[in-house]
Amino acid sequence: MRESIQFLLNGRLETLRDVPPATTLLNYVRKVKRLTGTKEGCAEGDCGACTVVIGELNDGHVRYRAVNACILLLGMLEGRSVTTVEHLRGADGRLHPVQQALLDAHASQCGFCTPGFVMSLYALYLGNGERPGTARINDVLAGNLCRCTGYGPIVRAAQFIYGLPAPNPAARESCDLVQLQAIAHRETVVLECRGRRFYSPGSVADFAQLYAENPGATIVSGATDVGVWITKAHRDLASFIWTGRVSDLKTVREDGALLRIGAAVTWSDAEPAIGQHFPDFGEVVRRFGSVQVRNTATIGGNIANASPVGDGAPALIALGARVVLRREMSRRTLPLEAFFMAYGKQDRQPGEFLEGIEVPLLADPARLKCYKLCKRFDQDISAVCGAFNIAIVDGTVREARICYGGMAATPKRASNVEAALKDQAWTLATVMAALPAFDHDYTPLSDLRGSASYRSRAAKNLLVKYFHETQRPLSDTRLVGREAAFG
Amino acid sequence: MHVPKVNVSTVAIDGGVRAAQRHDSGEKHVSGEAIYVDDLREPPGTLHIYIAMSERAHAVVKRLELERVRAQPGVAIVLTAKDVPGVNDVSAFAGDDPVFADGLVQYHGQSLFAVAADT
Repeated sequence: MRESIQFLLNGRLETLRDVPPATTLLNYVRKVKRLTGTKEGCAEGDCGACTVVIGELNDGHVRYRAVNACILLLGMLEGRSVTTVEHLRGADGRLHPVQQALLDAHASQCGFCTPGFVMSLYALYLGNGERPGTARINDVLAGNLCRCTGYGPIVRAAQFIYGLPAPNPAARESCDLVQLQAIAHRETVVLECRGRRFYSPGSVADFAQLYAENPGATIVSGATDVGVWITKAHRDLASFIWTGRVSDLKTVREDGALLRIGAAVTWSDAEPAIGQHFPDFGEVVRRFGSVQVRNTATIGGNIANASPVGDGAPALIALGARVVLRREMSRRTLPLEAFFMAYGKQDRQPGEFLEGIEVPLLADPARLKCYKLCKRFDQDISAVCGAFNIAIVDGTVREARICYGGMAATPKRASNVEAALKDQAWTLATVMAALPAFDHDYTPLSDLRGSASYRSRAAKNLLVKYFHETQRPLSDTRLVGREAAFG
Repeated sequence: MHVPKVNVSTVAIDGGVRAAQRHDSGEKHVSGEAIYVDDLREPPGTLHIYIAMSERAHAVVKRLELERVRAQPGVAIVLTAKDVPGVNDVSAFAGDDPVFADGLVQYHGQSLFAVAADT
């Protein structure tokens, strides 16, 4: 087991050992490398001031993605490249088109958030080079907060970029490609310092063995929550095992009537398959965190973390998804709703880990509808998230699966409501008659995201909305996301 | 209703008025080269300040017992309203914003005293 990590920082090889593994990439670049262009705003992955671009090998190319450096741990860089805002100028010192466009469009005022916007737009620019529409730009920038310039000039700048002469990105990418290939390997590495260890297994067999030997270790995938435990809760975690290099946990594939998604698949990587098979779930994924968060956060992390307001579980439970749990070489599967036993308690034994999920495909993809209610449309935690999967045959409810987040201590099915609908005629009268059953299913809490009475009312209204959406075109009820809703 | 047509001249007037001017620091902002306070190296010996704030929205300060605070290791100085030279006020003009509450707390979170220490 190699006791050091290797990655590229702005094109130069970094080899680190004896570094505290809970060090964030942001603190490393700012405090150790004195690259202070990357800013600390919130230190919890919300504001995007710390956005940097991570490159990783993918099918013989380098795939670049924007991430929040403030909650990314150093160990997660093994075999990857990091680009910060300081590395964007050309060899001749000229600004990159992304920078030039923001300058020309007067898109900075205090300038503190600007490097983060630069890096989000740089990642978009590296992505495919096609001129994006306004909706795409808004999605890409949803994770970058600006409190003085305003988004108008920033979005205009994003459109100007594509009218400027392109530098030669292929040259830089091929340089990164050669260097990343030179440090690529499948060996397990560990970053160790003063008894704190960050393991980065290179295969699922190594992962399973390491976790069986260290059942007290914290499994880290995207660290979008674990990173916040460190920066905000100041937790001192002794050992970590990272899923990011375990390629067996990073596959998405269709298997007959099932969609199998590995636990370490990021939301960005799962988004195309989810959007294709379940368009309305895809809409929720598009509003899940931000691009930076979706680029690192994984489906497995979202499930295993078991937040009562996680947005993955309601749709997955409504679809009848099953989780695959593994301990060394033994596996078991169970329905996702059975995995969530109580607040903070899941059906997972010591040394057992989430290997993936199995999601049954729907004959009619439009049958699944998902509703995420929050105070801010993008990048916000749900007050209530409801998912409905109701099979109607000849005007009668054959089967109903309804699940909510934000209504109980775990994501929870509305079993009484489902029973009240089953075998009834699918009419507004049936729906209205079923609404009182919600009060038997849920006793929601009041918190900063919504009062108990708001949550109860909203949950009921969402079923009524679902009914109406089965009766008329979505254009009658949806103001945004219609493209995705219509598939 | 008849709406008269208005001719608006679009000929630029002389001088800088009406011409878009670039932000002086714009290039530094987009390149990450702009230096903010948080980007400066901390000078050796820098003290750290903690402001103790009122947990009551409206209260009379009868006395501040700060001897134990002063006695903590690493504490360099403890400052209250009595330590402010001149007028205890940081308002722009109305004279209504004391640096530290002096006898009367007027809002939740109002500063009571400050501690400067090594860490």
